[in-house]
Amino acid sequence: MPFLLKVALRNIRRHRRRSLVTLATVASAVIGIVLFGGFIEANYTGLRESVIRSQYGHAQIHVAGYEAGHRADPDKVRLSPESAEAVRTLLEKDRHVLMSSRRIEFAALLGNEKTSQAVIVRGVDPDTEALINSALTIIAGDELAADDADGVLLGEGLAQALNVKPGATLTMLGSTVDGTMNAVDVRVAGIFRSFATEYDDRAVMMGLTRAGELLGTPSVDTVVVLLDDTAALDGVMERFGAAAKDAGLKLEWQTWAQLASYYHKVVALYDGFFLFIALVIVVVVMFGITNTMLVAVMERTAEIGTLRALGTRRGGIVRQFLTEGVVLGTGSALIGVVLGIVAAHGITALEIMMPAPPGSSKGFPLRIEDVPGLWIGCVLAVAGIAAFATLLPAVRAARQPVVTSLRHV
Amino acid sequence: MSFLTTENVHKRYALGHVTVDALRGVDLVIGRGERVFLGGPSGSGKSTLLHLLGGLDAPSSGRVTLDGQDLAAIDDARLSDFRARHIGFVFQNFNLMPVLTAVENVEYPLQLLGERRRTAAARAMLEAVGLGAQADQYPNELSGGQQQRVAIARALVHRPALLIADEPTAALDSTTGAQVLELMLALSRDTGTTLVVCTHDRELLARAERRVLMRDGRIEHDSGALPAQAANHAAAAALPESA
Ligand SMILES: Nc1ncnc2c1ncn2[C@@H]1O[C@H](COP(=O)(O)OP(=O)(O)OP(=O)(O)O)[C@@H](O)[C@H]1O
Ligand SMILES: [Mg+2]
Repeated sequence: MPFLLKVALRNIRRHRRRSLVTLATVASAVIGIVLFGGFIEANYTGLRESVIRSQYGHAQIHVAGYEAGHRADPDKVRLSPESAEAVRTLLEKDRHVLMSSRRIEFAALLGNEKTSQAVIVRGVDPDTEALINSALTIIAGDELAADDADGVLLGEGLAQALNVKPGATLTMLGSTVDGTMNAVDVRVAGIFRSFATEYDDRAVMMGLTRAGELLGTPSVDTVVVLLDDTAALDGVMERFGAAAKDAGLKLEWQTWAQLASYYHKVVALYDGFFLFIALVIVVVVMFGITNTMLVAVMERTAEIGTLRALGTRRGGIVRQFLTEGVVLGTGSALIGVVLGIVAAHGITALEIMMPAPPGSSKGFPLRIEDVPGLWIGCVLAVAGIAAFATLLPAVRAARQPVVTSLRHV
Repeated sequence: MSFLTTENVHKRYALGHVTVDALRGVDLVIGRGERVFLGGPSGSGKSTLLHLLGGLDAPSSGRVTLDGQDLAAIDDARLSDFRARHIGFVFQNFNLMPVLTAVENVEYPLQLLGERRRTAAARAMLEAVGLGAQADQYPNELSGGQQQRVAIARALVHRPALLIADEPTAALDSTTGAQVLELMLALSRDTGTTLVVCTHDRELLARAERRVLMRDGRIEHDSGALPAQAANHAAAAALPESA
C-alpha cells in the first residue's frame, strides 16, 4: 500500500471518534442527496411516462405544414386515409414501436335537452388508443370498443357537469369540413380520469367512424406512435424519417418532449429545489471536513515539525493531509451512497402512497429511482470538497516555520 | 578541519513589540567527527543554536555553514532535502510518528531519500540499537528509553554527517538516559558522525570530549578552544546548578 495512504488510514483509525463524526456528517448528507435525487428522478420518470401515455404518445406525426396551418384551416393539413396507412405501416416495422394509432381533434358541443358543454373531442382508433392511453383510468363504465361505434368516453369533470352516467345518450353538435352544421347521437360508454383535472373537465373520446361522419371526412390529424422504451425514441424517428422520405411522404412530427411544456416546467422547478438542497449540503460537508482537518492539523503540529526537521518538504506535508482528508471524505461518501441505495430500495419496497400532486388527480406510490450518475457525482463532489477543505489548513501548517511547529506541544 | 561553523551568529525573536536576543554573536568551529556537548542555564540559547546548526531556522545575522554550504543561501525545498540527506535529529520527547511501527519510523528517512531495500536497512539499524524484537511495535507500546532508541536509529539509519540531539535524555530516568547516551556516542563513533548534543546533565558535561557552555546567548566557555586539562577543571567549577 502506498505510504501516504497507509499513514492516512492509520490516522483516520487512530482518531476514531472524530473520524466517525465526520463520516456520519458526510454520509447523512450523501444519503439525503441520493434519496432526494432518486425521488425527483422517479417523479420525472413517472410524469414523463404519464404524459406520454395519457396524452402525447412518444411522437405525433402529421402531414407537412400541420403545425403552421392547422389552426387556420385544419382540413387542408390532414393525413389522407392512404397516407395515414402508409405511415402506420412504416412505423410498425420498427421493433421498438408497440403500436400506432390515428387521431383527429376538434371542438364540438355535447349535451342533452337540459344542458350542453363545449368540449374538445378526440376521435381515435378504439383498440389501439386504449393502450396508448394506459394512464387514463376508467372510473365508471367501459373502454371504447371497436364494435360500438356510438360509444364515447367522458372526462370525470365533464360527466359531472352534464350530470350523466354510463348508458346515457347525448347529442354531439359540430361543423363539417364544408362548414355546415352536423349532429350525431352518442352514448356514454365510460367515464375516465387522466392526470390533469383541467383536461378531464372538457375531454371526450370517441371512435374515428362517428367522428368522421360528424366532420364529413375520412382524413385524420395525427398518427400517434407508442414505443416500448422512451430512450429509443431518437433512433426510431431517425429511421422512420429516412423511410418516409424514400416513400415520398411529406411529413412533420413532434416528440413528446416538444409537446409537453408542463413536464419541462416541473423538471425546471424540481431541479431548482435540488440545486438549492445540494448547495446547503455542500456547505455542511465542507464545514464538517474543514473542521475535522483543522483539528487534525492543529493536533499534529509537533509531528509536522518533526517530519519537516527530518527533511520532508512542505509539499510532502500537504500531500499527507490532503490524502487523509480525501480518503476520509471519499470513504464516507461511498458509505453514504451504499446506505442511500439500500434506504432507497427499502422505501420503494414499502409502497407508501403519496398524495396527488397539484394539477393531478391521482396519488402515486413513493418511488426512489437508482441514479448511478448521481452516485458517482456525489463521491466525486465530496472528494473535491474534501481536498478543498483540507488544502487550506494543510498549506498553512506546512508553511509554518519548522521551529515554531516543533515547539508546539 | 572545519565542518560545521557559525560566524558571529545572532538570533533575535520578535514577540509582538518585545524582542528576545536568544543568540548574541556566536562563533563556533566544529570539526568532522567531533562530539560536542552544549551546556548552560535554561534560556541561554542552546536549543536556538542547535536549530541553526541543523538548518531548521536561519540566523538574524551571521552565517552558518555545514560542509562549506551556507545554510541560509538555499531555498526551503533544497534545505529540506539537505537535512534529509546530511542531518539526523533526536528530540527530547522522542517525536516518533505514533501511527508508524518502530521499523516504519526508522524507514522514514530512507523513504525520503527514495532508497530501496529500506526495510532491511531499518531492521538492521533497530538490531544495532538493541530493538530487533520490538521492530513491529508501535511507539505507545514501547518504554521511553526504547522510544528514544528508535529515534536514534531513525536519526542514524541514513548515515548522516551530522547528528543533533536536544536534551535527548531529559525525559528519561538517569540510568536509562545514560544507556541511551552511551548508545548514541558509540554509534556516532562507529559511523564517524559529527555529534552536537545539548544537555543539563553536569556529569555528562564533565566527561565530555568537548563541551561548550553558553550564557545569555554567548559562548561562555569552549573546552575545544582551550588546552584540555585546564578547561576541564575551570568549566566544572563554573558549572551552575542544572535547571
Ligand atoms: N520561537 C521563539 N520565539 C520567541 N522566543 C524564543 C523562541 N525560541 C526561543 N526563544 C527565547 O530565546 C531564548 C533562548 O531560548 P532557548 O530555547 O534557545 O534556550 P535553551 O538554552 O534551550 O533553554 P532550555 O535549557 O530551557 O531548553 C529564551 O529566552 C526563549 O524564551
Ligand atoms: Mg532548549
